[in-house]
Amino acid sequence: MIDRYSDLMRTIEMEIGTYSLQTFMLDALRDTVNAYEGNSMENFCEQMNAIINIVTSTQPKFSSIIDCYFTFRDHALHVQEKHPGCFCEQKQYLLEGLAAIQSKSEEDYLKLLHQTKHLNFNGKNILIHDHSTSVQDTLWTLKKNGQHFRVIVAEQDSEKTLNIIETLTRRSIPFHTVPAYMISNIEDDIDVCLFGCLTLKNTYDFVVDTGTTAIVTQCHMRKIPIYVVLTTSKFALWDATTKDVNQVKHTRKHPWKDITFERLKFSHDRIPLTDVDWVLTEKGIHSHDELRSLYDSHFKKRKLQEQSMKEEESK
Amino acid sequence: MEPHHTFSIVPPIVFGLTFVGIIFEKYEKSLLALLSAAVLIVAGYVTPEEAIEAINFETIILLMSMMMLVEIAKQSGIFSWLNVRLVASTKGNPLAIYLVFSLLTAVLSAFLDNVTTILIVIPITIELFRGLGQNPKKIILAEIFMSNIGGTLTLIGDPPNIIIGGATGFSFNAFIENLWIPVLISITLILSITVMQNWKDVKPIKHNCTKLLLSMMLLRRLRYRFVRMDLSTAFIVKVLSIMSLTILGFMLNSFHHVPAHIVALLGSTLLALLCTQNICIHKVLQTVEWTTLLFFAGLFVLVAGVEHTGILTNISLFIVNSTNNFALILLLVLWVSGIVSMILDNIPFVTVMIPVIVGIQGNLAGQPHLDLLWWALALGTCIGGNGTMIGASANVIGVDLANKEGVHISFLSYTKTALPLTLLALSISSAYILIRYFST
Repeated sequence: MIDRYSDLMRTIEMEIGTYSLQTFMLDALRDTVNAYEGNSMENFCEQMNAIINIVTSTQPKFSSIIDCYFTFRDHALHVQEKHPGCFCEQKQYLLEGLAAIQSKSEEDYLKLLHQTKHLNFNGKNILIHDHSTSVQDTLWTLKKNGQHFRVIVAEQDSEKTLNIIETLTRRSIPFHTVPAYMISNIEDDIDVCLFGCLTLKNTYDFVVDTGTTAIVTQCHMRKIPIYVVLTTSKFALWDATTKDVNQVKHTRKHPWKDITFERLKFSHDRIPLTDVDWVLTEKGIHSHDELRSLYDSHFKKRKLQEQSMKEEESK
Repeated sequence: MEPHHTFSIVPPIVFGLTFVGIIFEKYEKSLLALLSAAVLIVAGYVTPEEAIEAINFETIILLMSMMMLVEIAKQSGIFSWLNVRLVASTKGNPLAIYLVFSLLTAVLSAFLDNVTTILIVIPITIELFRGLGQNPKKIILAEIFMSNIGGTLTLIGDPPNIIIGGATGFSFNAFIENLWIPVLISITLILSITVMQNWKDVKPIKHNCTKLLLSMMLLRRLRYRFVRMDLSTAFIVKVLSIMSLTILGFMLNSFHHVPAHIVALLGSTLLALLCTQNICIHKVLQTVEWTTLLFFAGLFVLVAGVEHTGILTNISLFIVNSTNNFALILLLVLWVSGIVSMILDNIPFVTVMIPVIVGIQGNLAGQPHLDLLWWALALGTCIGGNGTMIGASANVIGVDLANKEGVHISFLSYTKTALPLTLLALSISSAYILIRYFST
């Protein structure tokens, strides 16, 4: 089951980006609550625990989803305690809780976009690479705020690049594309890089789209300012034990010669926080040192939560 | 060149060699049929004029028009819309997905060509079933059965019916009126049996949140992908209107007396004209399976060559003389068609059987139930195609699609599941034909 969830979440994340995946997973959870025909809240909470066990074990882990699902599980426990009665009535409270979680996440996201007022990208060429809703919306907000800039899209998987092109065209943002491996030829034209990410790990590495590391490293060496956009719900608040990168091995055949070879593909890249100049969150624009402190405070808070949960369970 | 209209073994040998070539699939079957037809013309067994006359253009025009109609409909996105709507209606319940998509396949196959139906339905069901952690093999097989059985229902559902319709002039409604009972019973029984056999995989999941959530994620993903498609309501409305009018045109044949192939031609050309802005007509025409149409043309000439030798009349006489029991002849036609269609391409078989049945009718003139021979032939060839993996194009395409998605269906495993169900459906058809014979 964990593998199936991992595969599906990874595919969806690649198709629509991490932020949209979070909304998607909350919508799917709402559909599940609606369709579930259990007879007691106790039963539902047990099943919710099973779901949390799965989402906290997927490869990679999606911190924002884990965050929302934990919050919902707490809400379910609260409903069980405060609103005894039949499950069909309690369902309504569950749905209200889900709606509140969704609103909170949207609110955080809007706050994140609001931070763009501190950015001045007027007249600049902005390099983007990943298919991130946050990056697209950041650009859209900058444009709505009257800033004029041009986007350089570093091409990656054709479907993702086409998605980016569709969005930029729909929003009338001027752009041109360049194959990602040819970036070195236009380094002088790039004024700033803007990236989204899947998560920030406790090793202070961002998990990003494949191919992003090469571009970030290149820009970092050239001292081109690098910005990463993420909400704090994307902080991975657990000890990193695995690489959070999925590797797939394909056997390929040469199209016209009798040669078979192995081809490795990876789901994500990692970039160290220190390679990034500025990070936008709903709380502000942070240097990497500031973000490290912010991450640590969230991490400590989660550890305390987990500790108290364990204590409750042992009681 | 004077045609040889006396008995000769050359045309049957040419036909036999063509058949063997078709079975081994080494060369494109349309080329084999055309080459053999050309050989018979050059050798003087069929004159060029007779060859042209032998080609049943009603069948070819009907097939071509339906292919155009279906392709334009596909481009409008209406089938994706239908899939997404139906998936949403199942609320992620595997049993509902199983039943809805099996029935959808049966219904679509009655009006579209079976291979198109399989191409529309199988990818989405593989994705849903595999996503839910179930092996999609069983539903793929169920959909293949439904496609062949559903296609039996109408004049345009399956090529053998198109050929029978072209040869007999039976109306669209005549097919439905005479075949709906065995088709409906076969669908109901086969679905019930396969559901019982696969209960472990399709049982409801409404009490299991982890499975339910996974299912909802899959449904939302499909919906998301559908929303991203750039659909034009005007295009879809045009497609729906013209397709409905075309089907209505088939049904009202007894009032307007316009042949089915002309109705289909009117529908497809009108739709192509109305949708000029939405489609590229050259691309639509490219998707028409010209090789299939040429195969039909070659086959008609080839069978005409064999027919001229008198061998098919002799077969008819042999059948009629071997028994005076008409019920037995009906069963013979049904079961021989069924068994042959399990192994061989049913299109050449039906093409050969047309003159045989006409011959039997000629020899048994006065017998009140002669039409039943055609229905026995239609039921036998269409349903028999289910028996093995190579029995019908839908089977081959369905299994290929499954293999591409990593679901391996071997010849033996297919036959193990399909053969008993095909024999059951043929038995139901036999019972129906006998009841019709004895009750009137």
